[in-house]
Amino acid sequence: MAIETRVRPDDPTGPTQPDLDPHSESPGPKSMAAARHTPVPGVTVVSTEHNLETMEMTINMGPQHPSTHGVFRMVLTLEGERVKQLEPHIGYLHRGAEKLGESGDVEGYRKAMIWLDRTDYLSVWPNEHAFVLAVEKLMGVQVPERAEWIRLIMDEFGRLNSHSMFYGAFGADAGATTPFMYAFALREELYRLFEAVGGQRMFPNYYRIGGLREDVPVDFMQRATKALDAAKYALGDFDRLISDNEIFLARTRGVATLSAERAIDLGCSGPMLRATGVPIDIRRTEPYSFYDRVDFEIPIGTAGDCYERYLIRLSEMFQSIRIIEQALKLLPKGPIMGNAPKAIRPPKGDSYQRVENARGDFGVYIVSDGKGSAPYRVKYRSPCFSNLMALNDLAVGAYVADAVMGLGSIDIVLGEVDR
Amino acid sequence: MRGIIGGFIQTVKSFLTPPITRLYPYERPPLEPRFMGAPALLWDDTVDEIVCVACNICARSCPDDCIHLTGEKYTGSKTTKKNIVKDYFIDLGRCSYCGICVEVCPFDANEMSPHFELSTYDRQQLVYDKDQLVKIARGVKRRMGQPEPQDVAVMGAIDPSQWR
Amino acid sequence: MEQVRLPHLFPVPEWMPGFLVAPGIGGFSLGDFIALFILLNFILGFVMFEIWLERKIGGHIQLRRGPLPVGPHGALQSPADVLKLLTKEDLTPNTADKRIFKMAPYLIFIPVFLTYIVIPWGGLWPFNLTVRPFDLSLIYIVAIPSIQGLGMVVAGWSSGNKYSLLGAARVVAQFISYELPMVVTLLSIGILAESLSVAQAVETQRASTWFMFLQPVGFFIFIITMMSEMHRTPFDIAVAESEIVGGPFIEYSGMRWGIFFLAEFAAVFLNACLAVALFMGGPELFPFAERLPIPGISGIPGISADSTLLRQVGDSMGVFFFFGKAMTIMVLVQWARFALPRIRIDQLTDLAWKFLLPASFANLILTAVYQQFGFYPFAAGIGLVLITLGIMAISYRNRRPADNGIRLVSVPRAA
Repeated sequence: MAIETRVRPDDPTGPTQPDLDPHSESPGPKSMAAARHTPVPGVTVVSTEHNLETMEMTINMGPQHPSTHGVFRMVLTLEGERVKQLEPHIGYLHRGAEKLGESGDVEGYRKAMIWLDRTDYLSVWPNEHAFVLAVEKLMGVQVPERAEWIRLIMDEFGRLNSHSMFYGAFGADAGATTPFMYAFALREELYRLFEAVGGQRMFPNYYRIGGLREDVPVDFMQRATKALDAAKYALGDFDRLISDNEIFLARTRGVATLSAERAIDLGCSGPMLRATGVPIDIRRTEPYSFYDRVDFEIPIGTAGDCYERYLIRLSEMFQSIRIIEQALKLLPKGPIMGNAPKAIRPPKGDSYQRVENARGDFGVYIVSDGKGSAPYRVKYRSPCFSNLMALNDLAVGAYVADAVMGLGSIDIVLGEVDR
Repeated sequence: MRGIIGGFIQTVKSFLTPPITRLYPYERPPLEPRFMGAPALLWDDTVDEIVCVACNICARSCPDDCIHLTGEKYTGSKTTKKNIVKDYFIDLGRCSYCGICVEVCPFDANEMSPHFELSTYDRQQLVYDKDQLVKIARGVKRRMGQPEPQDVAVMGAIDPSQWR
Repeated sequence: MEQVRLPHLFPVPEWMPGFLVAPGIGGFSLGDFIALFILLNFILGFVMFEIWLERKIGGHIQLRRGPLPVGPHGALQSPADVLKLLTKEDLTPNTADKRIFKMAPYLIFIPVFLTYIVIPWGGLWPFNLTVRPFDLSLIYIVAIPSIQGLGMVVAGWSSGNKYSLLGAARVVAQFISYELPMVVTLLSIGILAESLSVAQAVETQRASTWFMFLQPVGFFIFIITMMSEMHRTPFDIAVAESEIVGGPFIEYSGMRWGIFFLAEFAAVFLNACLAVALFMGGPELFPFAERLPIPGISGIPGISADSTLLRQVGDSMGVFFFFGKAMTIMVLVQWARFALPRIRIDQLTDLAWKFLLPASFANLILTAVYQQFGFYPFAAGIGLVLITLGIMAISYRNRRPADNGIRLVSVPRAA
């Protein structure tokens, strides 16, 4: 292995041209690599211990990658196996969801729901819920009880879906291929339920301003109970497979730790924040819907490492099952559409509604100018975007394998990061 | 070591569980009654005429702008329409299968068919015209907005033979 | 018919015609070439079966079915895959070092195949199927497969890709770390067998008992090191799919990659055969001889390895027993792939140097004790080891952090 010293001086005039040593370029066409090479500020070659002059390697975990949960690009600067610097590049999945949500000369609010579905495509229901709650708050629409209970139930099913996908992807990051398939077995059952209720498996477009599009099917109770049974069975399987596995524990305990102050500084939310010990859950701190009428607990961690985030998400799945069981018993009969007008034109004003997504604190901010049929401005505050900023804290100084596990434990969904 | 042995035992358990794979395309998945496949235009069999009156509401409500239609004056005598649809195109490559066009139609003229196997080799073939949209509506009844039948055991109620 | 020059443990039958066994070019006879040809074809065919079996087992563990449509229950999937690989475009990266890039797959496959020639397959009437059971085969089976490591490093380095470089660096660390426990374990086998020949080990196991029972620790260490030498999960960090997407093998496509793949599965079967030959008695059916190594306890009279009936059965059908046992080990290794996550490179080297190597040295010492002093001191040694392990386990358990750390709280509902 050719070991050579290379000192890169800080060049204030512009990006340094990398010398075209074929073993030091990121894979890909040379011109593209040269064009995208951003200067590494102030970094020179280090580590001349033992008279060994080693070189840093810039490696590109590029947009297509089996472990980066979507089109996300990380440019890692490695020294041996340790990560010295990490540069995330996002935006590969930007589809203009917010701008599209503001377009539409007719029925703009109904159309905006579609783009919102496709941001966090794993747990779809809390996102829809945030949007409809924001608009209902703005318009002062009363939602009947049955509709709100059904929304709560489907939210929790969405959480189950998302967390089981996390389990699958996290296990695959750790190297085990079996959790992925277990997760998909459970998700298949959940998707059949979503298909029965909303019409489509992934993007049901079911919540409406004032209630729901249509009532749940006749056999909803049996179906939901069947899905819950599947979830309980699957959770037992999930636990027994890798939760106690010594190899898995060695891969995740103490890895990618985040401290509570740092998490709050970065604006993390959801299981990332709760793993560090901060007991904030939007369903409890700012209850929306009927979360103050159901009994559930929120799991809080202490150490803030990957293993605790994993355990917290599994615990949240158990708590979701508990919530759904209670809600199914409390589900009243009644209408499912409130007093929303046919044409939705909210008065001038703005509103912000926050819900607990599977990933954290999802917020929808609606500004209406009173005139148009589409929002003047709709903004989605996505939890993954803020959580992803913690990646630098998690991964720098750790091994490549730990960086991958850390990224997996943040549980990002690129649709939400990029919108 | 105990966790590893537990993991092994769990894999034995799942080895002995029957696999959940469905052998598509030999075994069709059971679709729910609400399944939203391609939007289809309904044909009124009692008067042998298409229901759509080209009011353009579905085209305006579509989030993807994938519906294009033109209408003409109705000159027949079977129903009390004023206009009837002449050309109706849906670009199924753009369609997001959200069901809004069905929801807003005031004349109950369309419905989401269970037709989802739409793959072609050429993107232009995904633009369905009126005749194709009527053809895929065969066997489909208007469901959105109608009261749900209370007595049906509806788990997977669409008969797979109704698809094509 | 004259006696051949190379010493055979199993004498050549008299009815074998002379022209087949007369030494020819480089000491190889025509019969040798025929045997090598048959062996190569058999391995290539068996590897296809093995790949199919692994995919089926993995499928059913993962609640799915594995390959199904091609052939009955997907049996023709492997030949179909090979056909597909043969017809793929041959890509060589511009920045690769072309000559050694093309050489690397062969550097991996050839040592694997070469090691197959010392495996004592057993008897298939009227032959005894071993291609070359020579005296130093224990050293041979350590030395030749280590060229595989060289092959992977060459593949990683010559690809001109940083991911493969990373993978190659990991391979180096892994290979070196796991050679040593394997060598020491094989040394203890050599002590027990009183020779450095694999075929002699099989014979010694016929005389006493399967070495698996005499050396459970050694067997365990051998299985772990062999899974690591083959880069199987949980030790496949060098080839980690989800991180560096194939490690040294990224830039290989088509049949070049096919050779890597073939070599990996051939190595799985090879190591399973070695484990069987060295620890599980090879082609022997029954593990206990009439004269067990434990003084005072005799085997089951009449059913013992030394009896004529069993020896005749072993001589005529031993190869089937060998296959059965080898496939058991192979299925175990494949099962571990689907049940376990992978360990990180530094944890992997930790495991090798801090746990496996001392354990294998302890095993070696205990084996020497057994061989020299007889059974009772050996049993005393085993007891000592177990007591030490117990003390370590108890003290470790007391030192472990108390809980998982997560607790469920009822945060009071906000107003």
